[in-house]
Amino acid sequence: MTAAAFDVSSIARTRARGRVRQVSVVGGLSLGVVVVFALSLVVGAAVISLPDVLSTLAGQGSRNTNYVILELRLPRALAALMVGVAFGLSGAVFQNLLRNPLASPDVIGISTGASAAAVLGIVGFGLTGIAISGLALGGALATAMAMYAIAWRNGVSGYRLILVGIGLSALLLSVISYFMTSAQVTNAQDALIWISGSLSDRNWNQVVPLLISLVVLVPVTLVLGRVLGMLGLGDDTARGLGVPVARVRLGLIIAAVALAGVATAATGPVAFVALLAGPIGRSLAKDGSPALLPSALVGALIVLVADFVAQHTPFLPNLPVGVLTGAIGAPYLLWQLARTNSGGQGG
Amino acid sequence: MTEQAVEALAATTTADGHVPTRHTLAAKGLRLSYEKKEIVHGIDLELPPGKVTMIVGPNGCGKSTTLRGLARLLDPSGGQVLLDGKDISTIPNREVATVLGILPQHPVAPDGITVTDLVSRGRYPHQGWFRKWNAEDDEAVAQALTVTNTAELSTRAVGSLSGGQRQRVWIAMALAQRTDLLLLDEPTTFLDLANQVELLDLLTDLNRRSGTTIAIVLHDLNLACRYADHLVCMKAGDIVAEGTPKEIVTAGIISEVFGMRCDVLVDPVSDTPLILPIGRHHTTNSGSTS
Repeated sequence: MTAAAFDVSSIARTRARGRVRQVSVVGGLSLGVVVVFALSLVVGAAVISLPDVLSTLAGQGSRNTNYVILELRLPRALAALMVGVAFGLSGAVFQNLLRNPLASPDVIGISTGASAAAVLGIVGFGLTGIAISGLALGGALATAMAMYAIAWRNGVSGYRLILVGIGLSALLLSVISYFMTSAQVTNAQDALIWISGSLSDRNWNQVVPLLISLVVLVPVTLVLGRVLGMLGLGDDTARGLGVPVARVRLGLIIAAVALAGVATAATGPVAFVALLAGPIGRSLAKDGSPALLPSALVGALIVLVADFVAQHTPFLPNLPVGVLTGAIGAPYLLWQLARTNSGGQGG
Repeated sequence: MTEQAVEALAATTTADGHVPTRHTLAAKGLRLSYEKKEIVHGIDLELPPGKVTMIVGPNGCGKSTTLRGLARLLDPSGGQVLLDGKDISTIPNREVATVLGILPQHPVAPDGITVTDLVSRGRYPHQGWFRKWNAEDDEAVAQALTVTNTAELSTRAVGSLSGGQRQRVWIAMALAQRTDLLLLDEPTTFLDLANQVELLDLLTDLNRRSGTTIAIVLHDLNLACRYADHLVCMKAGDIVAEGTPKEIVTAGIISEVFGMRCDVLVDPVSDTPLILPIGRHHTTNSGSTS
């Protein structure tokens, strides 16, 4: 045994290195978000130069730029940013809590539950605005509770919860389809919002309630998320170290469900953002932490880029963003399913 | 254990100029159940302060359950666990964690976490929402790495380590917590014999140098007899015998507890009881010599 006496300062150095990495990952992702956000304000049917965009934001635009930037592009870009953050965070929290990369709200039916409730509100009761947000939130919570109750068998195992969630998701999707057909929704675009998510025609009516919700939910989630890393050590170890495991977990579940709910209310369940953001965020952070902030930024980046591409794809005008994220996310989901099963955990 | 490591351990008691106060942990009429099935039927147990207690017994006797109960990981269905004479369930969880450390049977390391990161998690109970990481935390982590001989692994990913190394890292995390009471649930499982002995030596060093009260659930009877100051034998949810190994270990008690014939000799290495099991095969004479 040749152990050296250990230098205390090397611990401090290791920690400093970790911090530098964290800061550079978050900084790099933020920069990317800012760039794509700016691009989506500049580029459109007509290109508006960055100085003009900035002066318009400062309240000195022409009538034309005021309309294009403030009424069309800004709310859409903000919706993309915030929905990305919400889905990214929600997915990362679920994946960490259930210790399973498949456990994101879009796979286990939370987003579908929110969708179904929103559709019920719109088609069934003719509601609009903040009432839809509230209803979607309720739908997400109700779905989560139903899932938990069905999966409960002397405690809840991650895998059973996911399977029950996938089943519920299918059921809720058929509920959505039923409302669509019975309400004679003639505009396919409108219907598609609630099935795969879309950012077209998003305006301040969706952005404001989302902004208010996120101002509350994001800080709460990030603060609780500091303890989420401790839960990764297993319940017994975490409790032994003084973590109030049950309370933290309940708080995080509610926050993550609410995030998925309010995001869905704004733009529909933008497919697979929640599934993809967490693993990418974690692999960038690479420190075994839940990497909530990187995941949130990755989510924002995915939605912003996907919507930018969707808006500017030749021959396919008005391609819903969810179709694009779905096209990227579905192969990843298949790969993840195949990989998990070959690891022998699929039973 | 190296010279430096031993000195580093000794430093805990002397550096800050006081001998740590001895905290006490006891069970009173403790009943523990999973679902509706009662596993532990109202036991009284006091961990002798500053000593190493080993809990042994056959599979399913409730020894791990007892340890989880003592560590407040499982709420009693009856009776109490007393920390310093106070019902442990009335003390805030984090406050308990500054005094009482537990290393569960199957701890989980998050993917990709490094040894330093994992050991640093042991400082959690000493941090508040507002108290930042400070020099004392660095020092506690460095010391934990040193005494467990894991310093040279500090930048490696926990997942890439061997079983023996990994177990030492978990012990390091528990040591970084700097508690006066330390409970370990079968810490030697999956370790080869040399690593088992090394781990128990390490814990004994900790006990002797810092006066840490240690309780270990252990499978290996002979190692338990050798390393225990106080031995607790459990069977079917009750304590059958407790005391020093020399006092209580007889062929009779072992046969009763484990349902197995055996001989008990004196271990020539340590002058403690040495249990030789007698099965149906490979015996030169038919009966027990004692």
